[in-house]
Order: sequence, then C-alpha cells, then structure tokens
Amino acid sequence: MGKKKSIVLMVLLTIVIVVLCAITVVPSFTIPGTGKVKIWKPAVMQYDLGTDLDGGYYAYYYPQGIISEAEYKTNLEMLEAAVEAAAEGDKAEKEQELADYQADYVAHGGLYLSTDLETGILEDDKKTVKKDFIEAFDEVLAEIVSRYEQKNYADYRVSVVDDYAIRVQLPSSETSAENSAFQNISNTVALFSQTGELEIKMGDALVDERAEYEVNEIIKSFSVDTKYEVAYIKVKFTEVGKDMLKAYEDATGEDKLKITLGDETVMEITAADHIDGRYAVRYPVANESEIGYVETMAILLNSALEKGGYEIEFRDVASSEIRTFEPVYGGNTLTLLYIALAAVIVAVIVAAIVALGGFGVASAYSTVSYLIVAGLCFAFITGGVFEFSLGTVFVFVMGLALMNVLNAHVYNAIKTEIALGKTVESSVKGGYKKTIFGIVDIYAVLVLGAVALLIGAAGLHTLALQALICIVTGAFCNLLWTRIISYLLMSASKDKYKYFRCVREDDDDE
Amino acid sequence: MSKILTKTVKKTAILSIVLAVIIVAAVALGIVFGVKGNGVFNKSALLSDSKTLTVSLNQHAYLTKLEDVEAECEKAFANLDVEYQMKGEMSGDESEIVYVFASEADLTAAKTAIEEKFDSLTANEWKGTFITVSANSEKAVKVLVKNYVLRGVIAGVVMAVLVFAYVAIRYRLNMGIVAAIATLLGGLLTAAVIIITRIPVTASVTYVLAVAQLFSAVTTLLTFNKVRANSAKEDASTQSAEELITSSVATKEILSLATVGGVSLIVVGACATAGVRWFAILALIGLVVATFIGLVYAPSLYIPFKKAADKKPVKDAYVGAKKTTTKVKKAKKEVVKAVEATPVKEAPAEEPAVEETVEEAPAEEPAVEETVEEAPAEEPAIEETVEEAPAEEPAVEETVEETPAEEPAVEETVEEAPAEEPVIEETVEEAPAEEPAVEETVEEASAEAEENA
Repeated sequence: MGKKKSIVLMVLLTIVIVVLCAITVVPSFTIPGTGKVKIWKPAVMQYDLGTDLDGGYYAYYYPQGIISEAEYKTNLEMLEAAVEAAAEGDKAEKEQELADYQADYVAHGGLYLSTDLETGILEDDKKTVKKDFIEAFDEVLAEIVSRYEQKNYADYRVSVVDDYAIRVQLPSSETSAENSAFQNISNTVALFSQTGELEIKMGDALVDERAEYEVNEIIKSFSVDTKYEVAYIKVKFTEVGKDMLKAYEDATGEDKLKITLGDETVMEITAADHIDGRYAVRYPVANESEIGYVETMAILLNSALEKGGYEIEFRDVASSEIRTFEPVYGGNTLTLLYIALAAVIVAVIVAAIVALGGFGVASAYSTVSYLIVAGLCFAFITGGVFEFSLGTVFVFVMGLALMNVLNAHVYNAIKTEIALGKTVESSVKGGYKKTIFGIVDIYAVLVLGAVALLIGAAGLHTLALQALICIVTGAFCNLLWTRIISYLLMSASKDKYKYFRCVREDDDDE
Repeated sequence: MSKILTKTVKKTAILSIVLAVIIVAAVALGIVFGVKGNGVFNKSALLSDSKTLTVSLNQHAYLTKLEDVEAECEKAFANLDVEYQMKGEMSGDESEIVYVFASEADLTAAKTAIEEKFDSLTANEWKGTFITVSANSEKAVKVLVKNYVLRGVIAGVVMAVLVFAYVAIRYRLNMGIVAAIATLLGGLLTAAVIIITRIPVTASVTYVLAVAQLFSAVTTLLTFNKVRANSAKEDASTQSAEELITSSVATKEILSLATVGGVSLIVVGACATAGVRWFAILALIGLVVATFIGLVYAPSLYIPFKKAADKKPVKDAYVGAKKTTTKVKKAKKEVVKAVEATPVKEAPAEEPAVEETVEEAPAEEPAVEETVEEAPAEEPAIEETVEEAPAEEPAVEETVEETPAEEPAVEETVEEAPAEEPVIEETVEEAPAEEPAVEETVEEASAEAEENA
C-alpha cells in the first residue's frame, strides 16, 4: 500500500477510534445550549452494577402484630409528649393511653410483639410465642425466599431479623425503560409481601358451580407473553377451568370473572377482550419494556397457585419504607475503580510502545479498540440485566494482559524471522504463520471454558457472557486487527526495519 | 529456563504431594469451620449472620444533624472498639442509618452509650430532633441463587472436560489429560489457599475461581505450544523427555502475563477502596496459582506422560530394512559381476573407478543400513540409490564416465538421509509402502543385469 494512502487511512482510523473512545469513557457532563437540561452519559456509566459497586436497596417485612423497636419508641415518645402537654383534666387519660400502649407490646430483641391474643402471636401468658406462629412464620419465610430466588438476582440477601421479621436486600440493577431501579424494587417488594389466597370469583362471590374444586384444579399455570409491545399474563386453564370459561362466555350476567389474591383483585376478565380461541386468558399488564414487573407478578401468582395462602400476613411495605445501602466496597468505589483501570490501560499502552517500538503502536491501537468494543458490548449487548461487577473488571484486565502478551509473542517471532535475513514483509508473514495456530488454540480453549461457565447461575452466568465478549474481542485484536494496523503503520513508516527495531544487514551483492 | 525452575519442574512427585497436602488441609479446615458455623470460607457481612444498630431520625434531624449523628456514632464505636462492616441509609419522612456488624459483636454497650448521648443532646442542644437507637440480630437465610454453588462446580468440571477434549485432539492425548488436571487444579488450589488464609469473601470469590481455572488452562497451553514447536525440531530426538520439556516451558510469556495482570490488579487494589483491595488480593492469588501451574506443575506433570509415551514401542515399525539391504547387496553384486563379464577396452582402467564405486557402495551400505535402522525414512534414499543402479547397467561405457558424477549423487543421498531422521513416525508409516518399490527395483536391476550379461 502506498505511503499516502496508508497515512490517510490511519488518520481516519484514529478519528473513528477517538470518537468511539469518547462515547465509551468520557465522563458525564451537561450538554450546553440544549434548552432542556441534558446530560451526556458515556457507555461506562450505563452499566447495571452489582451491590459491590453500586449498593442496593433493602426493606423489612413485619408480620401483622409485630413492630420495630424504632417504631415502638417513636410512638412511645409521642404518647409521653402528649402526657406532658396534656391539661390537668386530660392527663390521666393520656397516661392511661401510654400505659395501655406499653402493655400492648412485649420486647423481643429489637422487635416488639403484640400482646393481643387475636394476632395469634403470643400464648395466654403474653410472654411465650406460640408454636403455631413459629411454624407459620417458617412457612412464609420459605415462600418469600423461594419468590426472590426465582428473580435470579446476581447477589441478594434474605435474612431473619430477631426471629420474627424478614429483611430483604437487593441490588440496584433492575432498571427499565420507564422505571428506575428504586421503583422496580419497590414494586417487587410490595408484590412479594402478599401472602393471601388465590381465588376465582364471579363478582364478589366464589364461583359457585365450581366451588368443590381448588383453584389449582381450575388454573394450570401463569406465564408471561408479549405481543404488539404489550406484556401479558397468560393464564392456562385445566379442562374444568375451560368449561367454566365457556359457561362464562355464554352467560349474560353483569358480574365479572375475577382472579383475586387475598383482598386484591389481580385480574378482571372480560370474555371478549381476554379469552382466546383455546380458552386461555391473556391479560395485559404493562408495556413490553416493563416485562420485569410482569415476570414478578407471574412468580407471585404461580407460587400462590402452588402453595395457597398463608396464615401470616405482612404489613404493607410502602415505597417510602425502602432503604438504600451504599456499595459494599464503599461509596467512591466505582469512580476509583475507573481511575485505576484508566491508569492500567495507559500503562499497558506506554509499555507496549516502549517495548515493541513501531509494532507497539499497533498494539496500543488494539488496546484502545479492545477497551471500546468490550466497553460498548457490556453496555448494550443485552436487553436484560447484565451486571457489571468486580469479576467483570478481573476478566477485562486479564483479557487485556493476554492480548498484549500475545502481541509481544508475535513481535518476537517476526524479529526472529528478520534475524534470519528475510525481508520485513516475509518476516511478518512468517512470524504470524509460526504463531497463529498457537494463538488460535489459546483463544479456542478460552471460548470453550467460557461456554462451560454459562452453566453457572446468576453472576457466574453473566461473567461467562462478559468473558466471551473479552475473549472474542481479544482474539479479533490479536489475529486480525493488530496485523491490519501494523500493515498500515509499516506502509507509512520510512524504514520498515526500524519499525521492528531491527538493523538492516548490508547486502554484499549490492 | 533458570536452574532452580528446571530442578523444580523435575520434582513431579514432591510437587504433587505438596499440592495434595494443601488441598487436604483446606478441606479439613473448611470442615472444621463449617461445623463451627463460621462457614467453609470466611464470609463477609453480606453472606453471613450479622448484627445491626439502627439510628432512626425524624426529618428535621436528618436534614440538620445527619453529619453530627454519624460523627457521634463513629466516636462511640471507636471508644468501645466496635467496628462496623457496612452502612445503610434511608431518607424520607422517617430516616434511618443502619450500621452492620459481625454476628459476634456485642452491641449492648454501644447502644446504651449512643442512646444516652442522643437523649442528652435532643433534650438540650438538639431540640426538635427525635432520634431513637435500636439493635437487632440477623440470621442470613438465603444469600445465593438456588444451586449457585452446585452449578459453579459443574461448570468447572465441564470446563476441564472441554479443555481435555480440545487439547487431546489438537495436541496429544497425554497433553489433554495434563491440561484438564491443570484446569481443575487452578480452581481447587485457589479455593484451598483462600480457605486456609481466611481472607473475607463475598459471592464474587466464584469469579476469581472461574478466571483462575481459565488462566491455568492458558498458561498450560502456552507451555504446550512451545513443547510442540520444539518437538518438531531436528535435535528433539536426541533430547530426553525431561530436557525437552524443561527447555520448552514458556517462561517469558507466562511471567509477562502474570506481571501485566498482577501489576494491573495491584494498581486497581491500590486506587480503590478497602473492600476492593480484598478482591484484588483474591484475584492475585488466582493469578499466582495459574502462573505456578503453567510454569512449574503442568510441565512437571507432563514429564512422566512423555517418558511413558517415548518408551512405548512404535507401532508398525518397519523392521524389514536388513532384508532389503541384503537384497540391495545381492543386486549390486550381480551388477558388478555383469559389468566385469562384459569386455570393455577402457573398462580395466575404469574398473578401479567402477570398483571404487562398487567398493564405495558397500562402504555406503553400512551407512545406509545404519540410517535405515535409525530412520527407515531413508528408504527413499535407498530407492534412489537402487534406481540409479539400473541406469548404470545398460550403458556400461557411459557408466564409467558417469560414475564419478554419480558418486556425488550417492553421497547426496547419504547426506540427505540424516535430514529425514526427524520425520521418524511418518516415514515408519511410509516404510512398508516402500518395500515393494525397492524389491521391484532390485528385481528389475537383477533382471536387467542378467539381460546385459
């Protein structure tokens, strides 16, 4: 290739790489002069982050009749303040209210248990917790754990607080097009707190002609379906259920067929809108972009269908009661991590140029290309949650190291060929020929290893996908991209031997 | 490769024993800690039981006194020598700060001290604020996805199987076995070291184990690539298995990979927060293990496999060379007799030349014989030599003149013979195919010699 042509191509390539690099890593800033406030966000700031890098959210599930120590003390303080502020005539009344409140609860660790026997928590002595309550709590705990398991979070935690309350801790990675992570977490926590029984009703009454059947003898399963950018809950019925739907279709009454969970109506089924030709129900819930919410709902309904209702009901968890926790590794972890990675990449680029000369410049271009491709793929490759974690950083760094070491290996092979007296072009050919199959074998083994890791669950599965991205990118850079760039640079260089830091031997024949 | 490394690589048995001891010690320690309830790994707060201290504030307190509240809490913890592992926060109508401690921490004194301090402050300087303190204990019920550990172990085993299959097909069966063992060992040894050193881990330890396995396979393959390249060289057959393998360890490449990866992890660990440092240390352990396996253990493990493969007699080895040599000798003798019997004036003067060539031929035969024994591949050389013989017979007069020219040809074939030595296996397979050709040419030579006679 001619010198001018290669220079032009290199300049164009450099511009493209710089632009893509900017899209990937330039820090966020407000875009001036846009009228509305708009913020530029690079690809690296659009990752779904795990709890180790971005923290998450947590919430408590308190059974009815159980409150936290903080709530008890707050109420007690208010009643004490009311006593202090009460007029002389009302003081006795306020003091009685205070005394009643104190008698209404008994302390258990950091919780306060209601002494009201109707809550079914304490025995008649108002001190010992009932065995029935303990068993019921263990059952509902297992159910809550099962529901969160099915969400496939990379890392999460369900723990029991002082024996009779539940705390769930979730990552903040479940963002969607319309809702923030906080809103999605709120919805999930609220949905999974429901422990009521699943029922089918006509109007407000249970379906009479089918009263002898359990609801799981009428409904087979709930699943998620999407069509025309709408996410549906699809209800499959048993033969008994299909007969019921046929009867409902033919009926002319005004009562609607409903599926309820506890006191909540989950679906109100209209024959014309929701029942399809095969007597299944497709009930629209949200836009397709909010499919995560619909999947959560399906998990809830299936678990209620399978296991029925529970004796213990939890208090409603409002969104204002969702707490945040900072990243496991500290608030500035992500920023410091990115700074560290930037330092590593700069060091690798400089080391390559110093050690490999002109070929090191080609290797440097490959390093930046690797960063761009991997960075963009991590941000945009899947529609689902693709958590960026410390494992991602490790895999990225090792892929970068391997790519540069193999480039150095190729460089040494080329130099060996030049030392044998061959021309630079045939040395490059010979050097790549000698090393290509070894490099292919290494990357092939890495691909097989990453494919095997896809068997892993949650975070390990995501790591396998990320490793595949890094491996394929590294292979492309080693086997093709570095060679192309080196060819362009070599064509543009004055002395091809100096490009490889070799001294051309004098040709005696000349 | 340095002498220390070379000596170490040769000590397969000792290395295997040491690694086995480390793994067994880790298993034993894991069982002991597991029974005690602390877990096989030293789990961090996220994965284990914990205690929490919750400071609840009203909105006014949160907006105006948050930093002061945090400072008082930190002071109380420092005075009582209690260290929290994590901190959570909630803001809204009711706000709270949650401090998470290890399950062994005794929070009674800390709670009392903080409560008294805030009671005093809210009664006097901090009027309008409302702060309560509560302490809870937490028992972790579920911290990992269902079957997370089982699926991770299966993934590791499947990885080793796939590595074995690929390396066995692309390289050799015994290399495949070593590569599979190296891959498995990468994960096992890393886990063992982490268990023994009791470094606190989160779920991200599985990432370290997975990447350690991947890079153990890579470092092993870097060495095998070099073994394969060196095995194809001319002097490979003169080297013992030990010499070949110890000289083929890809020291430069593996150490470069370890250096670049290690320095990167150190920079990441140095720049980031304390928690990331623990992860960087775990990652460094994985990297060191992968380096050790590729640099020392995999080559060491391969030595006995290579020795066993070298000892195994080569199947279908051609052993008929001596017979062929006898036939060649016979054919040549007949040619010589035919030449001697033919009256040629110039012949006597040239006989010595012919005789020389004839005499040389026997001299060469041993060389040919030797080369045949060593490398039946040289039968093409024999073929050439024998093929040349018939060319000599019909034009005896010409032969005399040509003989000197043929000497170089014979010499060439002899000289060419050593070049074929490295391709022993191939030529062994080819050898049987050559026999009929040689026999045919010998028969042709003798037939033609009889005709000329």
